[in-house]
Amino acid sequence: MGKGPMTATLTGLDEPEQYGSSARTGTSAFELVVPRPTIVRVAGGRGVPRWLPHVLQRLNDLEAALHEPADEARVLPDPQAVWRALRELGGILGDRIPTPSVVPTVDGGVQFAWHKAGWDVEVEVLANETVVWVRRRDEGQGDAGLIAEMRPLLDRALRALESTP
Amino acid sequence: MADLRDDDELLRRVVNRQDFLVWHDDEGRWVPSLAGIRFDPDGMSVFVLRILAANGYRPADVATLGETKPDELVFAAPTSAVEQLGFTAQHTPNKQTPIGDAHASINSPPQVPRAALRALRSELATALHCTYGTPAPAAPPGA
Repeated sequence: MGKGPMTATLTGLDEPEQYGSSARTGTSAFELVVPRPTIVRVAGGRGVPRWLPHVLQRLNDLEAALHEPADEARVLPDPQAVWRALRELGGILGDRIPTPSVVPTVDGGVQFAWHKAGWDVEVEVLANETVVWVRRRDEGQGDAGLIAEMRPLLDRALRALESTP
Repeated sequence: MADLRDDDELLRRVVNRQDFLVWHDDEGRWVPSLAGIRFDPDGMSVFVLRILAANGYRPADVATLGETKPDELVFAAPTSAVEQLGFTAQHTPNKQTPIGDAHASINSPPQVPRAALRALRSELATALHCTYGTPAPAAPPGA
């Protein structure tokens, strides 16, 4: 049984291009939205992580919002960020991580966030990069930056989250 | 324009949807996401509870912006907590809504690197507490 981060094998996943096709009938126009089915397999680890169903549902919700009528109250992610989040989450979220909140950001990203075990952690996956904010609450102000430079502190925080019941 | 006091509660309207809320498991409550406390060039819009009350309004009126918008959530933080993080708060009354006389703006500290600014805004979000409304989503299962 693996102890490291879960790996997710994605099949049937293509870069999003045109979704469906447009046709005109009479005086109305409509668009056919044909979802591309994506199969996520869990390889290694200890089975399906508890966070996976919720995270996949939220990513699906965010992707689906891109095809809904415009809503001034809605913040829409960049579709590339949604697909990138799906690809990268296996390398970020270990199989024992508590379920994060998943929200869109005003910069077009998808953010995974936890406030737990005395830590505040936000991982924002954008179209071309991943930004992290981590704070140990009893140590004062947190730190933010690209994931590569934040990896040691992020890993420390994620290990702390993993050890919570 | 009025001077704001340290204990003035600043009220922020936040859309009551999962996209705008992050679960705070340690404190058993929801906090706004960064999208819920969006800053535009004029800062982040809030309303001063003291001035609202003086004009006969309540936190519930911030949820609807004086009945011009759908009912949402209202989060609050004292001016002192906001300024302690380095933000500035100013009374900026307007006539855009019936409660515009109580409008205030929270502005980010100037010349702060983008990453540090992001960290400060995340801290600001966690300093806000829901003062009106019931958050619609359930906590993420397994949180």
